[in-house]
Amino acid sequence: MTATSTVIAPPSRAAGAAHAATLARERRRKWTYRAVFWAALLLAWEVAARRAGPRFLPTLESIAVDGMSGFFTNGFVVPFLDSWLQLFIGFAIALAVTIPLGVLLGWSRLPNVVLMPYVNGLFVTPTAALLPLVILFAGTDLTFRVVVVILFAFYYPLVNTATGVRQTAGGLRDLSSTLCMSKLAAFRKVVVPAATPYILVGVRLGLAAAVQGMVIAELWVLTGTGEVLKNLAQFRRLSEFFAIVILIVALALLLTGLLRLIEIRLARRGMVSAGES
Amino acid sequence: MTVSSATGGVETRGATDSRPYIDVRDVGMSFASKSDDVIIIDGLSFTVADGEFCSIVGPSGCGKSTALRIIDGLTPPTSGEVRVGARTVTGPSLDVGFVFQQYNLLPWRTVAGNVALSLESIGTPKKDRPGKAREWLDVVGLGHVADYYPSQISGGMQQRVGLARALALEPRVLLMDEPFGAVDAQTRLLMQEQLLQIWEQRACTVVFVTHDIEEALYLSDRVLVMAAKPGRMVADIEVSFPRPRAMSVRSDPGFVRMKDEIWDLLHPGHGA
Repeated sequence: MTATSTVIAPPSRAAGAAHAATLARERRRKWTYRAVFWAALLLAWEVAARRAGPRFLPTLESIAVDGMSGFFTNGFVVPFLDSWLQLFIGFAIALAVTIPLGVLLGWSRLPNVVLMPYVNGLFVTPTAALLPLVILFAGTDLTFRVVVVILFAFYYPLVNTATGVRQTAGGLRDLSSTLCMSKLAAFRKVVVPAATPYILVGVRLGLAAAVQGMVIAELWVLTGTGEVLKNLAQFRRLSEFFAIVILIVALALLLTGLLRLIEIRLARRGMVSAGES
Repeated sequence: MTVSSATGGVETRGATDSRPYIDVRDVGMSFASKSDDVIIIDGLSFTVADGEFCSIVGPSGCGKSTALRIIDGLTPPTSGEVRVGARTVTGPSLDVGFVFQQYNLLPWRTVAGNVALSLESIGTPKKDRPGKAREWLDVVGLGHVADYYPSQISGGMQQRVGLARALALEPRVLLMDEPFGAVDAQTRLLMQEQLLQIWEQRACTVVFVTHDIEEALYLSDRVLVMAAKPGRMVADIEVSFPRPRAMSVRSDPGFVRMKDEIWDLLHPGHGA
């Protein structure tokens, strides 16, 4: 066969530019829709806030001005940072355990058969219901809060990693066998790159769950941001209450957005860059 | 069982000799199911001579792909043994290249990077790998897409990358599992022709699994016909059209007659 018989033409520059313009147009349209929807939401909030009055719903202006300034001047910054510290410790431990465990569950049959029912059991257990038990074991200090974050963050990275690794079990495992790769080489060159997109999605979902765990833990033992939120709600300081909630959500969205960006980058390169050859 | 060799024609490669290089001895494959044992392959025996191009045809489920996996060592047989050269097969070896039906390219590596995977396995020094990978891609006519990712090229091209990757091992034996099954009919013809050219230039023993009788006849020195339930061999047919073979051999009356004979073997009672 001659090479010309199936030569593919790389997209010409003009076609590429036209394609880029179409994409840009689509992106603009997407953001326009989003902006319109956002504006509608904010407007609805504002209308509702003015009708309900400040004891039930603060106005946007009051959240942005009173709430945010209150956050910085009323000593809420330290508990806020403390909460995120607890989150990062818990989340780091969760990942350090779940990713290797997920690899194990995806790679070998026996651990999968034995352990997977428990993993799924944990998923359907209302995690908040376990908290009194956790308090018995871990007290009410940082340890408790970290354990709660771990509990919340456990499932997604574990299951996604296991799924990602198991995906490589068929064809790509045959490939590494026929090329006589060592277990380690197969792992490094085939299994890990193939599983990486799955792992990243798991990490992203796990982070979102961890943020929930962070707030719920603090509401239980009344400390950190959870305590602040409880008190603010009790004393009807709703501008500051919403300001803090918005900050938590914004920070969580920012972090998951960053992870999403990494996913997209890797996806664009086929899947992930193994940097070999 | 007869072991044939290509006869006549201009031989640009060493003529096959009749010494068996692959020796499949009474291989059986079965697994236990709820009711009883399911026999995939029953008492399969054949040999393939050094440098011979041998095809296995058969209906789906006759165990032809399993047989190929057993020869490679990817799947251990439940009984019998396979010898390749002086070695009794216990697992895959680097002197055997395998071309998969589903290509199995690594999507995160470039085309050249995929070929380099083989070079890494045989210990080619890192600095020589890009050049070597390029050479093997040139052999299959794909040097110009070396830096593309697999998702950017067609299925037929992806399979040629799979072939280049197997060739890069410089194997004594090439096992091909319905390699052209997923490509369109025209590309398939071109790829068959290219495969023959490549094989004729290399002293390489090929076992080629296909369900396409014409493909098997066009390519092979010998066609083994398998039947299903249980998978077993029903015929060992010598194909002695001169080489190099032109595409036009397909319309040769002898070729057509053999095609009909194999069809009858595969579908007794359903004339061609």
